[in-house]
Amino acid sequence: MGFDSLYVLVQTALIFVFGSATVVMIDPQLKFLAETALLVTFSALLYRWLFVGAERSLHLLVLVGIVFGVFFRSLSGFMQRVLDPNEYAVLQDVLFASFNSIDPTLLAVSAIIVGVVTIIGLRLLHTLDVLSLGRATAISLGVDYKRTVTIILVLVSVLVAVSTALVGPVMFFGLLVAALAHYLTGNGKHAYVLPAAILIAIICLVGGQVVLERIFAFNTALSIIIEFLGGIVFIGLILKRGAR
Amino acid sequence: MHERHPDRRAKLVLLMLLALALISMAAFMTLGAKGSWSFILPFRGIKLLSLLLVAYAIAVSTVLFQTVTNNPFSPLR
Repeated sequence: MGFDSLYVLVQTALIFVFGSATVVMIDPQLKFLAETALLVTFSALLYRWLFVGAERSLHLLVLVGIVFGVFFRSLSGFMQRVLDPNEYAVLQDVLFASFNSIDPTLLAVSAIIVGVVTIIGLRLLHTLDVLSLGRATAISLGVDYKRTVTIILVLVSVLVAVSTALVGPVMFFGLLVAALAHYLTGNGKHAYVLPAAILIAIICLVGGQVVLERIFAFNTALSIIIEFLGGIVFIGLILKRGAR
Repeated sequence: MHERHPDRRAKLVLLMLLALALISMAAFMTLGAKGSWSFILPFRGIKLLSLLLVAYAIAVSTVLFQTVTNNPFSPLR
């Protein structure tokens, strides 16, 4: 949804405007909070505009995502070309999702944010089941659609922003996890799907990290393997959907 | 997915996933450990915590997002 390219753009703009020396000096907690706030604002606005309107269509969603993605990417591509090669090397380091170099001071902040989101989310658990029946059904069953969807989208963007700011952009991993969770539980209830998705994600990340560290001896990056698998699942899902 | 007890199946799957997750976490904390435990455990603990946090955030956000957008890529459709 243009999220990854926005992240790239923010990082590029920071280094472009202030120079790598200043960026490295910024207090990481402050930088983290600012990045999160920016990503949340952008996505909340975008999602709200897209989904709360009259009729949501998948094509519109995908198109807007592509357009925004291209827009942000070409902006950052332009800035990257003008950059000093040394500064560009610093930037490249930031732009790859890395599970090895997470700043422990950011952990507490993000844990608190995620905790708050979870508390709000738990109260919506049953409304979610109704929402998955579709917009018209949900409204006729008495869900305050506009309000609930806005809340959920804000929660989603907070979570995405936190994970992006912690490790960098991860594209297909969530899709892989969600698809697997739906498939394995064979059940639409969020009380089952959500924990299943969380557990699968933990297995992939932690288990993957173990395999990576003990068998491949850090020779490759976990994010590359995960994105590779996730990309294949994504293509498979699209093909399967297209076949019907 | 037309099974007689979809809830039971889901619970079973959850239990199995939980076991797998616990095993991988234990493996992450203990495998290939050389040196003193008082150094290794906090060092890996921080990494484990961040991995858990990221996994949680990504999983929940994607599932919620798919629910709101009516699951365009869910395999159940």
